[in-house]
Amino acid sequence: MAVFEAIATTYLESTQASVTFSSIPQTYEHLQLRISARGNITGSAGHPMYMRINGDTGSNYSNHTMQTYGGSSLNADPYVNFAYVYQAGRVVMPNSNAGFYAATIIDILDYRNTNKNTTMTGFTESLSASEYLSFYSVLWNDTAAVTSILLYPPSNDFVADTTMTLYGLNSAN
Amino acid sequence: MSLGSHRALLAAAGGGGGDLASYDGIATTTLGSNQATVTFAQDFSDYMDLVIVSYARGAVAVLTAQLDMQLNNDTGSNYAKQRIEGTGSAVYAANWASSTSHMLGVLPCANATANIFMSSVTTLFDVNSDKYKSGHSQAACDLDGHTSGRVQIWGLSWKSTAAITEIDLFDATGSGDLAAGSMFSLFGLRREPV
Repeated sequence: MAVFEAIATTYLESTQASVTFSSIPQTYEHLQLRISARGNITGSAGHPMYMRINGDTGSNYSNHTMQTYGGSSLNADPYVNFAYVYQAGRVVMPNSNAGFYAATIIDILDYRNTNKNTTMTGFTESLSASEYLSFYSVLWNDTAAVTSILLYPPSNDFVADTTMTLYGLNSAN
Repeated sequence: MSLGSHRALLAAAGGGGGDLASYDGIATTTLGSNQATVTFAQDFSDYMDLVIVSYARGAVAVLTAQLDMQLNNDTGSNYAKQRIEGTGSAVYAANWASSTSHMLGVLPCANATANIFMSSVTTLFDVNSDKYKSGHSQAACDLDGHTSGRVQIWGLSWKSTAAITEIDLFDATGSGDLAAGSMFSLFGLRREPV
């Protein structure tokens, strides 16, 4: 088994409300999501991307973010006990210039362990007209193994050419 | 800075990183019981960079503690570090020019909500060079229900020209162990063959 292996890639050829990675193999030590995303919420330049794990709709998600807007401010925000991950990444929206997609990397460590809640880290950015750069944590307050991941914009859709790839990592072959 | 980003960069540059075998899994340790220190020690001369993945918790009876790292058993004041930290709605920056260890992140400990672990990824660059060894680390300690959960980004420099041959990870409070269940993985990014 390769050390760094692509599990699944979603490439959107048209608009789509959400992307789900399901039946995630329980054969890796860690997971990584790499995302390039744009949405179609009219009147917006950029917005957080939401996430749910294993279809859990309970208030079991917390988020701590540290970010700069437009390179001129630096601040942090807590989003505690939400029914979804408030910031799993970023989605560029139509008020941004054409061609820009938000880039996000999310690390999900020890995802199959049933004795640990799941804490993730992520980096995300969006340009242009919605300049935003953030490092953040995600807590799913549940010890179940991660078997599916749902990603979606707060309303409307992801647009075509949005791509998402889930990788698995193993340090011991 | 995240897992795999260097492999992607190497691949994009047309270097050895385009080969999956250039990114090696070296070792993984999951603690079956509380333990003071986790050590990775071997000849890393095949590698350009090392990546340490930590999913860890502290055993001491406090809310949080520090996960620290020393290299090659160096306990001198040879570790320079700086960080940006977000906690609640505040952001802080700090630096230390001459510490006795690197800090990689904040550990939830025995007084924190059960089953919550710190997530951290640390990269050490050019580990066999005769330069001072630079690196960076990212970490999240997302305490359940706490607006004081922390996210951190670290810049690290070990002021030694020695090749890295040993990595020690420990709870910097000195009196606390790393908790059972803590998991540490070490990856290596290979040099281009010569």
